[in-house]
Amino acid sequence: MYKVFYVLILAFMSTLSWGHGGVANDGNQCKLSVGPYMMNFSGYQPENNVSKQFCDDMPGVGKSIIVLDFIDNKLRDMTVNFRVLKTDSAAQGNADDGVINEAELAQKPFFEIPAKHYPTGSMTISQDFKEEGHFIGYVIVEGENEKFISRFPFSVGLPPAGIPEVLKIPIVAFIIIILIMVWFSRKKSAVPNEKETDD
Amino acid sequence: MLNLKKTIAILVAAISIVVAVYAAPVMAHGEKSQAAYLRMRTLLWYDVEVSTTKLMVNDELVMTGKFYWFYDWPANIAKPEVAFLNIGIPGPVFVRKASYINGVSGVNSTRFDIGSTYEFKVVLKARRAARIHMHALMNVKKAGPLIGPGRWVEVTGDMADFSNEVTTLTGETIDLETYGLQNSIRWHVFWGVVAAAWLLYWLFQGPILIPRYKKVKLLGENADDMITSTQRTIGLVLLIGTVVVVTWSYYDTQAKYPITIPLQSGRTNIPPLPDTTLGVRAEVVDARYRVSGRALEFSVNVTNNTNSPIRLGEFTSANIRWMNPDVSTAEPADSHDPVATNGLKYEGGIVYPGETKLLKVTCTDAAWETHRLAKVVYDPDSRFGGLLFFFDNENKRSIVAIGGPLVPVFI
Repeated sequence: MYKVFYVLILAFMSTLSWGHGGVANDGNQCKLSVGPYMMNFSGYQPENNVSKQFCDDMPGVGKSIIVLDFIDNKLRDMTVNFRVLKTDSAAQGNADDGVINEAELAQKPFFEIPAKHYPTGSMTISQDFKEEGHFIGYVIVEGENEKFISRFPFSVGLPPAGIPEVLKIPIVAFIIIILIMVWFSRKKSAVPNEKETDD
Repeated sequence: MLNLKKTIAILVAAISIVVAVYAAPVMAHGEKSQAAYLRMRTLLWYDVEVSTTKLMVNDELVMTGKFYWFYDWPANIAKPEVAFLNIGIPGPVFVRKASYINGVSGVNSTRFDIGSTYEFKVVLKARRAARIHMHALMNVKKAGPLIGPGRWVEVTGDMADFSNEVTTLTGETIDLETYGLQNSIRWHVFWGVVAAAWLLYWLFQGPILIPRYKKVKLLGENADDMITSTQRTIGLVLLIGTVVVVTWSYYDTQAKYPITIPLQSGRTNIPPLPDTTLGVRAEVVDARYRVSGRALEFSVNVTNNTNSPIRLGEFTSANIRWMNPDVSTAEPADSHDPVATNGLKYEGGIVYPGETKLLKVTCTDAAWETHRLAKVVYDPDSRFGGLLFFFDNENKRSIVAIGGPLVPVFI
């Protein structure tokens, strides 16, 4: 029984929840790492949920907007190529998600934004995902003497695996309250027994 | 069988350990973490410069600039009735030698007028080697620090060479780096020994902590009987001794140093700079934040009461600058200086003397997101603020504060 509690503690106390491959949920920001550089990754589905911002996985099919905001100003001087491939397999949730696959890069992408400069530091990608499924995103940045590639699997229209982030704290609070209530109820029930013994 | 009491104790202990042991890496020093409305609608800094970005220990650096106290001050933020100009630096890399606001010494705290502009100058002396991101900073009582633009500065050299000599009012030259250090250590050790002796004494006087608490509960009204007459005598001696030593130390200090200088607990009132608008008025008609485009779009009615035609060259807010390179250019001072060199575009062109014209302005840059300014659209009142810089033919600037409600647009 103790093991259950230890597992719960370890599961809920982790402050960093990692995404897939190059995209990670860092604190309250979704970040994409490309070599030594960082971008903010924001996904929107204006038709489904206008004000909600997503990190890599898109909850529904339909018109989707992905915005990459360059945290490192040096990226403004580099070209950025964005491409998405279709795949049958889901993200594994480990380091393999970020491993660059040359065979994938050689494939014809599902869609692609050719390499170009983004002097305002923001790259906006609009795409209408008509059907649900698994995808692999690639971001390729290239400067004068450097080139970096980031890979991140993501899904469209599929339910997220595991406990949703927003439910974690309420669940922990609920379990703690239940434990305390059980503890107090047992403590109260123990008092009459002691009195009986004293008498 | 599960021991719930033990389990809850383990749970609490485990959470405490995890929280205590885990420390997330601290990035920068909070310039992006302050709420967007706080950065946009309190203190707006501009023209901030440092005299050098590379210097040796003992060299001096001068930071200068201007700040404007935004007219549409947030209702939940304390107004600058008591404020102190400072520099935000991680650790004592510099010592502050002097600071001035509108030419008046900034050694005291100051009251500022909302809707007014001031200029500042801070003289710093390099103390130890480091590469730091330093900010101008205004500490406002009950509001906290309002952070200005940052600059990367590198100090080289050996801290052992540092000296901070000043001449006192009595003509004595002292090094503030070491002055009074021995005396300070002596007093700390003295009171530390007294405190430790007092603590140790009571550790060996019967039960302590929970056992003592239990005994007190057991004795009830007679709990005072636990303290013996010897213990009372020792306590009285220590009390009298403490009062005597503190009193003597005050008289001794007064005798040795009869002349002192006022510290920042004093207050000064500094009149603001003359009106920076120079007769230009601007009122926001409507404003939108285009979420996916990372762009602020607003319409502004501009009235030019000067004698020269003017054009819009810059919008600045929260230490970020959106430049219109057709009118005014600026380059980032370093890798972390948020300057959108081509971030401002507007329709409407030149505003001639005596004319009132509607300008449609767009300020685009990733900084809205990477500097977390876009969060302003999630605020209950969703209001933005900033400074518009108009330029005449001779590059003379009219600086006008604007602000208003902001509506997010997704498509």
